[in-house]
Amino acid sequence: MSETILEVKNLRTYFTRKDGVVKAVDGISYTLGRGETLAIVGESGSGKSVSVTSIMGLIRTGRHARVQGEAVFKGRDLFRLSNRELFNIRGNEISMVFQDPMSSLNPTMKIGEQIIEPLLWHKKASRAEAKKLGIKLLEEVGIPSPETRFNNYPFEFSGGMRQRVMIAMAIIANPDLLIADEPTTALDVTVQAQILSLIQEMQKKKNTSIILITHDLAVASSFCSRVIVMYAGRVMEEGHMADFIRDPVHPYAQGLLNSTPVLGDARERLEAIAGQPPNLKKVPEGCPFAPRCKKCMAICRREAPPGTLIGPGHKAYCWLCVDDMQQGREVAENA
Amino acid sequence: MAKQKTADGHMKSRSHTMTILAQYFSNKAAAFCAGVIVVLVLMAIFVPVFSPYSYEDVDYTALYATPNAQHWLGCDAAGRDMLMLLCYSLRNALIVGIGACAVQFVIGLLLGGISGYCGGRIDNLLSRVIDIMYGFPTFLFNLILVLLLGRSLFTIFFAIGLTSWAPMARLVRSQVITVKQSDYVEAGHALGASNTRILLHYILPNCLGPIVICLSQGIPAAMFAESGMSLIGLGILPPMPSWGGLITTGQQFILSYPHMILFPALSFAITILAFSYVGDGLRDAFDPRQIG
Repeated sequence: MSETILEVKNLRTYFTRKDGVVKAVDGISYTLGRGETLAIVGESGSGKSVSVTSIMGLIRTGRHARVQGEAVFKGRDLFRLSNRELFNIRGNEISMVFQDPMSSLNPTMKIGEQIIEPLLWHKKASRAEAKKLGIKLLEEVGIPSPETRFNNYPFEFSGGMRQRVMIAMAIIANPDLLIADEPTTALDVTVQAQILSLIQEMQKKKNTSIILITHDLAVASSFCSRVIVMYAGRVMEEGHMADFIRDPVHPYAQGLLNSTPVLGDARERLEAIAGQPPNLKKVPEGCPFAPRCKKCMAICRREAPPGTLIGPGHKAYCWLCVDDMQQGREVAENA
Repeated sequence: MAKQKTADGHMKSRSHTMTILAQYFSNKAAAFCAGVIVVLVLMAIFVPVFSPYSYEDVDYTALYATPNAQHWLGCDAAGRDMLMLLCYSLRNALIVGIGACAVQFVIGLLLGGISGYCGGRIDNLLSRVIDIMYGFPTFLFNLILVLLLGRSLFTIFFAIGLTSWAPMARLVRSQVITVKQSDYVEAGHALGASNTRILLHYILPNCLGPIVICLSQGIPAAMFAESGMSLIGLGILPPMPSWGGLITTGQQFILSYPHMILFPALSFAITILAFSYVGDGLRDAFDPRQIG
């Protein structure tokens, strides 16, 4: 693998509430190489978004929230940086595209101003240069008559156009890492494809690393080279996208794949995973997926499974794989 | 309403402020009242300049004079020109109204803003301070302050401002809390905006609507408070006239010389109504459901 750009080690984000501690992210680790595209998939409330907002330092820590672990970005642990250093990284070296384009733009500021802001804050260009670049980017992301549109306000844009604006804003400073938090969830399918190809094109041009958060496996599989499946704040399975799609190991990952509709599939009903995701205040002991798992064994309810290597770069957190290990496969270190 | 076709067929965009103004002036009553206020302000400034009389000039030949060619609105018991008295009352009321609002705005914005933005213990503490101010009988507090500070135009609006900022602070706090949690503020943080930047360019402009409305409605309220104080004789010091004072004297002559209460009461009512309508108009214009 190429140069590592982000290494997350044992990330935990806990929120303290009156009636207990919400373990939104409970010890996840992964690495991301330069130019690589990583998908984080999982159901709603599995901690996907919190895991990246924690890395960005957008969680206000204090009495009510704790973020632990390490997030090493280009050799610096993001959790140990001063506010000033963080300001310099955000929007500059790491930037983010948010889920809801309708509410993620400042309604009282002109589109153009918002797009060029990161450049001005980080003193990468003069106002005139920034404006030129902003207009060029607006054109690149497919906004017609960008000169006039530059001076429009967000309420004059449709959802798809706003998401394009968000992308222009996120990439204007040439970040090394782009985090896209469900960038297409609020958009219809045709616009979704356009937005994704836009991100992809930009990635090719600038060799940016991307973390794509999604609950749509179809989107993830067409777009990403690696995948992490999260459930109840933990990683269930991770590996190369192709291996994962061909041969998912974890029962939860299998369930996810089976519940993804495939066009032209002759089956009449989609298989859903029975039951509900656990309440994050009381995640069951052992494997969090055990209560919903069809292949649940006694040990699953007692002890959390260790990570097991089941192929090159393909790791699963499931006792079923640990059994396989006894038949002669190698085991990864307990992560 | 936000877009206009220009000659070359491109969509021309209006700024947010322009949109709100256009929305405001499409409301006929509000537009009319804005005009009334402009006229009133001009009167308060220029009539005393061009009038041959002053509010202190006493004309012994015209005691209790009814409206005539010399004194258009008549005279009061001391032979002072009624039009002049009204213009000075208006002037004082405007100074008190706007001054009190300014005081209210500064205190409310600071306390409410800090409370809402910082949250946690600071918020808890400041919220209790605001609660205490809320619970205090405002009028009584006004009187005490004026008696302590001395009676002058300045102390009166200062006292009114000092006692009426609690609703403003509470409004600012709730606005800041709402805006602070919005996605675009988080997006701003994610793009590397500093805290000052977030406060000035993200939170403040998005809170401004309700604050402007609250301010515009605070002006007539402050005028009312001042008149109330004058009515019981603790407002602006005579011989400087004030509506409250004029109405108190006028009511003694309500049967014999009705013009002495009619004109002050009428001008007071017109002013208050105009400001209230402008406030209502602003509230409607800022309503996001009407924009876009």
